[in-house]
Amino acid sequence: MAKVIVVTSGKGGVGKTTSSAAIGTGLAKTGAKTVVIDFDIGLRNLDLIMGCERRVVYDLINVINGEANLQQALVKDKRVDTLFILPASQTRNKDALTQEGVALVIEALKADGFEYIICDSPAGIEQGAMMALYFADEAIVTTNPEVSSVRDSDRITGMLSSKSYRSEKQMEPVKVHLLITRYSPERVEREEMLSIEDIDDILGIDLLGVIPESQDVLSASNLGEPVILNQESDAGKAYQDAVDRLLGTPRDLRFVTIEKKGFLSRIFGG
Amino acid sequence: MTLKSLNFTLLVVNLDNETLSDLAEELNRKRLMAPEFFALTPMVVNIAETSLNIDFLQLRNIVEEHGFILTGITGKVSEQQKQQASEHSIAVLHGSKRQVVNTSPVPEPMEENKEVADVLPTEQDYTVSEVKTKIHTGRVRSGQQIYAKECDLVIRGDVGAGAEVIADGNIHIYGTLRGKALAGAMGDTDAVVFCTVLQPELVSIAGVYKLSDTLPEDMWSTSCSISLEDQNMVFSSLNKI
Repeated sequence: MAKVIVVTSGKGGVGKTTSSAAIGTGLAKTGAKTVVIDFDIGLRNLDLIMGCERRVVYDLINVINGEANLQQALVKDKRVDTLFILPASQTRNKDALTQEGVALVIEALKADGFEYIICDSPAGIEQGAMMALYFADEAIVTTNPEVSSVRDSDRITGMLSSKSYRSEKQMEPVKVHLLITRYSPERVEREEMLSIEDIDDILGIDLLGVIPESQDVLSASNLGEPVILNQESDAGKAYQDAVDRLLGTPRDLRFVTIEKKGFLSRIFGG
Repeated sequence: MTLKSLNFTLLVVNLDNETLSDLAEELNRKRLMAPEFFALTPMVVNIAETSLNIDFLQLRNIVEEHGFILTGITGKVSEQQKQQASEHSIAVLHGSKRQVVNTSPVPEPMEENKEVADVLPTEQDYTVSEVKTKIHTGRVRSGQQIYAKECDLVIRGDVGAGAEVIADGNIHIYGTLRGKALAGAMGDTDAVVFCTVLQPELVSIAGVYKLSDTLPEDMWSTSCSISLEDQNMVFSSLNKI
């Protein structure tokens, strides 16, 4: 049974696209046929982060308008065989995204044998974001450990329980997961950042993962290589843990406490 | 075909003297305020004194001229008045237990940091019938609003910052109140807010409100009830009773 998973947040710049790329890649690595759809019409980014911007010919809006078929628009990833991306349009505006159109695309992807359909939501709570979450079975609410991001995540979680297909049809509610990104235990210690407990207290959403603040995330984005493929990096490992948990394998939380530097690394630099 | 009984909220106008031109003036003023809103609104006339000598035919004409429909009369109605009313086919109604005053449901906190609680103007009497309590299970999130019309509201869960819970009756929150709670939204000054952990953005009873920075500091994060005494908010701990 295909699963539609929206990666959303409300607030911009918290790491939705980075997380969509990483989690999509992680799921595809298990051999499951996976597609990541970019819903950020007009501000297309996913293809850059996934490193396939030069191979984009047709996009989501072309498919919705019937100007291209799905096979023409899907871009196959070069690293993972079962991974595809469906890019956003850079030239149209968000009104081109209709509910009927999105429904048709998702149905076609399911019919094509995709097991995971990841919807990378734009920021805000307007048409694009609403369309990205409307057909979701599960949601990954991405949040940074700071009050405005947490507040926006609370708002979008409310939307998931009232503005989605599942809520309108009074089906089992959308399963919501929390992904905390850019977490820095040092700054939590200095009380410059909300702790995991603080966030849980406000949101009350099941924790899927905590991605530590890391330089590797930025370098991976610049290289167009999802950070999960870099298993040397803490962020890459944390994303892999999150994917494992999403698939039902329990994993202990890592990188959430301050690392005590050893004697040798203090002398030689760590 | 079946007959059954239903409760309705009706507009009630208070009549405390025999000069019906005063009533005409008042109705005209109301109608000019919101012509669309009051068009063909059923109205009940509350007679304040049994001694009043009222011309019921004229009363009906005045009410209908201003676009309302006279549903009946209520209040202190003498036998003689009942007789006169029935001659003009005007029903005599008996109000339910609670009498509450209508106020704007959401106060606009314009001035912050005020020492004394602010009061909103009240107008028009409404009768409110007793209705079942509304129970909401689950967290109320930012941007969500739960309104319990003409009844009490029970929230099983936290009320997040940026969320609003509103009731015409009392509000009970089994969780942390971080957002806004407005009890007695139709003006019931006897309404009470109860909550397990008090960290609100705003609490209001019948239009009297306090913002988080004007709350008594020692009540922050405690379990307490908030009620109104002589237009002042009274906070009392739920653990010290």
